[in-house]
Amino acid sequence: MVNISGDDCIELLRVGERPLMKESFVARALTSWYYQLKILFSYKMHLALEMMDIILSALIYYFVSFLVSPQDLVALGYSPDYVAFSISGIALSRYIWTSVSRLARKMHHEISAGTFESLAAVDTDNFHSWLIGQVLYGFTWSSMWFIGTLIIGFALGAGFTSDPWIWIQAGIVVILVVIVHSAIGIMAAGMYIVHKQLETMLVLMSTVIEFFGGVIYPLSILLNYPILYYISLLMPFTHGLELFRRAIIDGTPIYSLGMLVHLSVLLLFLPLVYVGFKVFERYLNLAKKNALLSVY
Amino acid sequence: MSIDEAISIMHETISGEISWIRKIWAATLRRAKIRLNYKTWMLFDFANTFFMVFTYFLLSFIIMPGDISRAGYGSSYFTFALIGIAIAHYITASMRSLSMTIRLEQYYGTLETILSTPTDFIILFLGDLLYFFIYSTVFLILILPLGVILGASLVLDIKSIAMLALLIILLILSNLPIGIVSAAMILKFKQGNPIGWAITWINQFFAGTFFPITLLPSYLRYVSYCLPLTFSLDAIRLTLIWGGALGSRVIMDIAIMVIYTVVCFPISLKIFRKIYDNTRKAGSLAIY
Repeated sequence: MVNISGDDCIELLRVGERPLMKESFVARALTSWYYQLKILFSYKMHLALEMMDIILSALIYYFVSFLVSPQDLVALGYSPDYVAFSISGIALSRYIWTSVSRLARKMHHEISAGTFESLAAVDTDNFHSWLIGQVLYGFTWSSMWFIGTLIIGFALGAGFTSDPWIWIQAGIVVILVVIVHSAIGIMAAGMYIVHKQLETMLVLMSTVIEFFGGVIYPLSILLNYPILYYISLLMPFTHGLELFRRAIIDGTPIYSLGMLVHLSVLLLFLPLVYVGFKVFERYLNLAKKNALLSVY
Repeated sequence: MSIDEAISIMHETISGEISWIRKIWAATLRRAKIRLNYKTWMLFDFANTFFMVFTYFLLSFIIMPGDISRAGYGSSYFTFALIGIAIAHYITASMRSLSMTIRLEQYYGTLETILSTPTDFIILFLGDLLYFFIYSTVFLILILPLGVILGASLVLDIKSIAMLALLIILLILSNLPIGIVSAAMILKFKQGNPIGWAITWINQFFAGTFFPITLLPSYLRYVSYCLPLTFSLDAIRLTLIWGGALGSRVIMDIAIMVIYTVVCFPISLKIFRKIYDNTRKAGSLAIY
């Protein structure tokens, strides 16, 4: 038996792959994004149900708003419009959660369908272009969900600002929140390759985000429980949602003092993206060496 | 040889030596053993529900009790929401356990193997259902006291607990036909679970999971009255909030759930059996 390490095996299999890399990184990423979109639009029933999901989830909070005391909302420092409050919260939290969970779900699908090893066999850049394509797809899909929810909210009477300049700022906030959280998604996808059962963790993550981020209740209620309040301040989503809400409901520009504090905290989380890729690579290499790619 | 002849020959080899109760229990243990392998999954599932309880606890701080009270559910929104969260797993068990089981077996290519065993698929399903019932009961036992600690006003004496047990059984039986039809659709269309998914959302919205249906416009309330879950939730809430006495509204809820069960159960089984037999005859059980 020839004595050969896992690293030697991988290097041997890589021989000859470099000259074949004609397409650019961007082209490969866009291809990965485009084929996934084509798959999405071939499931029309699924799309119709997603539409229903958007409408019904917005309607649930529309009816809950009849129960909410506007005076209490004002006393807690928010606008009395609970429809706008909750719709902005669920739109952003779902947006982040869908984007974050996208990669781990894709891993789950490829591994359980037995196609992940094939993908790895044709991989030329340690999955970077494929990952970017899938992340892009996740954002495209969740953006449709996000915009749809806001439109439904607007139709239900949510008092969002009509200032386009504020909406541009809100868009910048959303992009920033998404970038920061995509790091978590990339890390989770890497962990999924080795640990396999992470989907429930992602569901839990979305509930934790909803809880600590103050998605359906004003965050200032947590001041009654200081430990919980301080934990919530450690989460990037809390700051992102506060920025987004204040912008689209109150029309507060992101360069005002209170908003700059949240913006600075959010920016502090940016290096997480680099860490996310490193964690993914580590798990991918571990899985390759231990032949875990096709193990489900 | 015709397909029917082939099937009847296969049927002849079935031996009925083992009682069906033992088989159901074996199927329950099978599911439990599989699930207990995923301890982290279970832990996350519990944590997820606990966070939901805390989220609605905090939301209740800004809720005015007027509409909850007018709908007959006392004065606490947290109590109202807590009961919905506590029984959510029973709802999932009745409406989605069969379809989830079929879909998973279909996806992993083991459905045909399972359906080829001499044990009737219904026995396997009942075993799964029993497992989900026990699992949901563990949730209920943990969540209701947690709610009481957080200030929910629940009546948890022997009478109301006995009544709750009866209502949960009725909840499962009256909602199960929807789950059975949904599973049949998976066998037929080989797609995820679009019907189960749609029904989950429709139930969440129309059956009064997060708000009393009295808030809905009267024309939308007709949809609520078509869903058995509306009556299950109403009866369970009234029992846990006001105690286990049989008020006229609870009696009406029970009567409607019984009607749903008696009428819809045989129809759904017939639909499932027909699609199941057609799928077997077409040899497409293993097609994904």
